[in-house]
Amino acid sequence: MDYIIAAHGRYAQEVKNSCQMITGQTTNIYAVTFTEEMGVTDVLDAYTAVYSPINETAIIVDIVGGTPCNAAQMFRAKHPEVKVVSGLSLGLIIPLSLGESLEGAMLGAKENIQFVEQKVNKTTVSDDGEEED
Amino acid sequence: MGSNGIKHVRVDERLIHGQVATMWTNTIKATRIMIVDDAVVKNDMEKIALKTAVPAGVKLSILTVKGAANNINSDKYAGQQVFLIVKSPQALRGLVDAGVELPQINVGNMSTKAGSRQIKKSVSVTDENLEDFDYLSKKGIKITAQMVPSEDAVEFANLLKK
Repeated sequence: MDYIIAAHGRYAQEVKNSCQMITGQTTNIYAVTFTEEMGVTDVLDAYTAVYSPINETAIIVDIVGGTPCNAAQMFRAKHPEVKVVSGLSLGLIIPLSLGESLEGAMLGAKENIQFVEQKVNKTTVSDDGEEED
Repeated sequence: MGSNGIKHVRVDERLIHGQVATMWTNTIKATRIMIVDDAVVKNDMEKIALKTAVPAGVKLSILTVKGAANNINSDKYAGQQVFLIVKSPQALRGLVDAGVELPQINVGNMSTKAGSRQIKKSVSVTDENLEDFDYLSKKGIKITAQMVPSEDAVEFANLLKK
């Protein structure tokens, strides 16, 4: 499945770059940059330029109601089969680049927002001062 | 390879981080991550970071060279899939000298330091590191360099010829 990711500024491109730092080269992520001088139709054109009708595609935007999201809604008018998701983040894109389902990755990304200190207590650890299990 | 449970050995100064937690642990199907480092054992702050970073469902051991060698040599991890991570080859030299059999060594990340030279993106080595790698290589252990699983593993020795 292909993912077009889009956000204000260079965020989408940098999410892709950051993902590749961890996963290596991605093959199914297409980043769209939305800068100050661009209008909603420019973003729409950018989606059309990278969209491949052969592949199942979802557009992932940063926030609901922003221009990347509005342009995605317009894109969907022509391509109703394309899903639009908000909440672009590294925690969402890594599993998608590795072939996880969109639903699974969305669930994981929601769980990724957490108080980190609560996680430490759940981990089994052993060191030289403790017995190992 | 041997039955001591050690599945994969990685030199990575960042220990457990994105590439390790997300990619390597899955690729190796590790059931336990073992950090072998005499200084980390005494560093509570670093230990908290490791406990936070270890993927869910994977056991974590943080051991001194001596403690790890004792445990491994007494077959404590037989039947497990241990992913052994060290910051530098020095700890591996210690393990080998204590009689631990290592399947192979993969070099992931080693940062630039005073007196080090870069031999690959994300790998810089000092003369001391090179001496340790040479020692391990002469023990017949294969050494490769590979940052992420999707990248090809290269022979460590070939990087030094450049």
